[in-house]
Amino acid sequence: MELSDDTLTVSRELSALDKDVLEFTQILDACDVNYVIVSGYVAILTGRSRSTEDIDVILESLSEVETEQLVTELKDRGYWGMAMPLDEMYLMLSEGSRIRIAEEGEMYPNFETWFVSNDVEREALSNPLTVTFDEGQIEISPLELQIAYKLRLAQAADSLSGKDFEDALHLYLTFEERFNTEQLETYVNELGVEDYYAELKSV
Amino acid sequence: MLNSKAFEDDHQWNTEQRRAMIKRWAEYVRTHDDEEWSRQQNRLIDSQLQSANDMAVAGDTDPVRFAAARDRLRDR
Repeated sequence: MELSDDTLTVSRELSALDKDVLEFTQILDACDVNYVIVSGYVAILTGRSRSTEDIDVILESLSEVETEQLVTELKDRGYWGMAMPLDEMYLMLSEGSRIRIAEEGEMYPNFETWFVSNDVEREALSNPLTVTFDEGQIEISPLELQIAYKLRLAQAADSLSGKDFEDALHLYLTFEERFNTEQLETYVNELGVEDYYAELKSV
Repeated sequence: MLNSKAFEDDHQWNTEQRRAMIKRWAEYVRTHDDEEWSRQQNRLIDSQLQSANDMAVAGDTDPVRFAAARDRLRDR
């Protein structure tokens, strides 16, 4: 993997999960929807040895018309809302809820999507890292923000041994000499996870 | 009588082992071609995804309830 300021080039053999993610994000691109993928898939994409049943996708806030266009495209491409019909998408997202989308007849993976709603999410959406594969490209959270965010989740769970801390550890160790340490430490301070960051570095 | 100290020691040992494994694997990812590590990682990812879908199709899991239960545990 090659990491530059705003691009991560990955020459990996695509998993079934990667292919599903690419197909889904191509629909978002086709509808000109700004998005960013966060959380577990970011660690998995960069080699973490675990799987996931859902992909977290933050969307820019869309109007009702824009959302309807996206829903039409999703249906045309064979997707469905697992817990709520896709027709309810705007209602759900505009009230701050999330909606899970999967390929028709499938349960996994599902794409848990929601409208951007806080500063951390806005930061990820405004400064995404573009991942390029031979087969296409996707937008993910900056790695520095992702590490700090994962530490924040670990802190909220009061756990230095759960998957969130381990995801942060994987990202930290894999990109240790390549990411922007100053930026990471700014995020760590802003999210108030200095103790968890100290533990991460001690590993 | 249950031995809480023994449990804590086991938990600590397990945590250290998991961290050591993550450290070794991250080193492997850093020092090998993407194709090499991803080929191994994909065996895990693809099989887990397949099994999760098989269970869902067989009615053995309700993904929405599963995710809600998982989130509750995560938020504790």
